[in-house]
Parts: sequence; structure tokens; C-alpha cells
Amino acid sequence: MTRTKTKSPVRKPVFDADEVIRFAATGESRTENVGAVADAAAEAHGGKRKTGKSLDANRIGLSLMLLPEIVARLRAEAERKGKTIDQVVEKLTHKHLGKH
Amino acid sequence: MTQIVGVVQVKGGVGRSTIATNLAAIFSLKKPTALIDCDLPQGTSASWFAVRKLTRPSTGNLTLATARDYRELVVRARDLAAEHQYLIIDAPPRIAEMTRAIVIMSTLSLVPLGASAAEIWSTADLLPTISAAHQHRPDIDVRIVWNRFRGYTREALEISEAARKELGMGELMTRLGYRVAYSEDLARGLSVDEWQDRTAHGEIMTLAAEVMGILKEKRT
Repeated sequence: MTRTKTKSPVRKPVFDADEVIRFAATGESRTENVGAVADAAAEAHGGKRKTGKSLDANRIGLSLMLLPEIVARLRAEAERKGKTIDQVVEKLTHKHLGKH
Repeated sequence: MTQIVGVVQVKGGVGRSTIATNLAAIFSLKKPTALIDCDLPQGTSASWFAVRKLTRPSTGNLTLATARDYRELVVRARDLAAEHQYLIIDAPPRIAEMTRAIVIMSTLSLVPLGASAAEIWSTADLLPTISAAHQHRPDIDVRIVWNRFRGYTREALEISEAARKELGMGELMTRLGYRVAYSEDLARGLSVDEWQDRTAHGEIMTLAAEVMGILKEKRT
């Protein structure tokens, strides 16, 4: 009896597309960038950055292509406030788009 | 799992397309393989594939794709991964988003290098990108492939030794010599294993076997 040919399984790519795009565009990874900035900022404020479920639960990843000066401003603002860039973007969005 | 081999080098004319096309042709004899030409509009690998299609009834397990920017590359690679065991990427000759994307997404990146000062300088320009990629993904593997290597000359041996110290990168054991077969097979849409130069044939088959061996180790 001959064995029936089975269709080869769909192969997963070995990379995370969002991470590749982010690294390609900026030379930095999302995890390093956000985490390092937030940790450094929290440390500067004498505290420890809040992590875990309360921060990341129900969050959706989003890649953005921004001008370098905007990224620098977001980074500086996150550092000044001891927050992550994600939190700064969220707050700005609430503030400026929440009214409409 | 699909495995990706990126062929990257900042300098032009170092043999990226020669290595990419030959590996793609030989890999496709074993498993479905896609060759992605990112060096547009030059498109040497794409031209090679077009000639190949004209001169043979079937291209077998080999597929060609092109990508004009890194976003298109990511989409293409993701789509091709569904049907192909190997993706071979021919990178453009510059450090930009595309090269960063290729280094970070490749299972193995090959850096063709001739034993000349100019090529070693250009490879040094690639080091910060490799370092940044390594911080992001510690398991990236980037290795030099010596190309057009004249091992019988003292200059080649001295420069390659200096490059080893200067660049601090791993390298493949296989070295490709300075042979007419490599440029002629490209123009004819052939891979060197289909051409008559037995020495070149041996070099390319050894290179393909070494690369496959590395990829196999990474699968386990």
C-alpha cells in the first residue's frame, strides 16, 4: 500500500514583521527602546517602573513611521515624566482626540 | 520552519548576486526556494532568473521575487515563507533600512568579501548595524565569505589575516576563487554546478553544503 501524500504544513516565518520594520526604520527595537527609556526615567525619579499586567493588558502593538525629531520629543517627554513612550502617546491622544 | 539567508555587503561588485543565485539554484534542487532580489533597479538576480526561464522549460522549485523597499520585503518574505523552505535575499549595496531588515530577519547573513582594502573598509561600515542587530536579536549569525580569493598570493593571505583581526567576524571555511565561470554562469542564467568549470563547481557545491550544514544545526 502506498502512503498518501500529505500537503506540507504552512511554514511560519522566523521573524516578527513589526519588529523587523521597527529595527529597519530606526535601528532600535521596540522592547529596548520603550523599556530602557522608561526604566531610566523611573530611576531618575527615584522609583521603579510599573510593569506587568496593569500596564500591558489589553494593549495592541502598533508600528509608527515618525520623523526623527518627533521621536526625540516623545522620548524626551517620556523621560521627563518617568513614563513609557506608549503612555505619552496614549495621554496625548486622550487629551487631543478625546474631546471629539 | 523557513530559513532565510541574506547576502549583504555595503560595497557593490563583490559577488552578492553570484552567491545568492548559486545558493538559490542549488538549494532549490532539494527544497522549494525563493530568491528575493532587493537590489533594484539593477536587478542582477532578477535578470539571471529571467534568462534562466528563457533557456529551460522549468525553473523547478525556484521562485523569484523582488522588493523595492524594506516594507515590501517583509511582506514578500512573510508570504513566501508559507510555501518555501529557504529564502535567499540579495541585498542592495548600501547601509539603509533594507540592509538592517535583512540582517535582523536572516537565519544566516553572508558577507561576500574580497581580499582588498576597499572591501574591508566597506565591511567595517557594516559593523555598527550588525552590532545593533545583535543587541536586538542575540542569535543573529553574520559570516564573511571570501570571494575572488587568490590564496596563492601573499597579499591575499595578509589582507585576510588583517581583516580577521579588524572585523572580528566569523567566516565560512569555503572560499571562492577568482574564476571566469562565476561571471559567465550568471550571464547565461546558470548556476555554477551546471557549468563546466569543475573547480568552480566544487567550490560552489562546498559552499552550499557548508551553508546548509549551518542551517541544519540551527533547526535542531
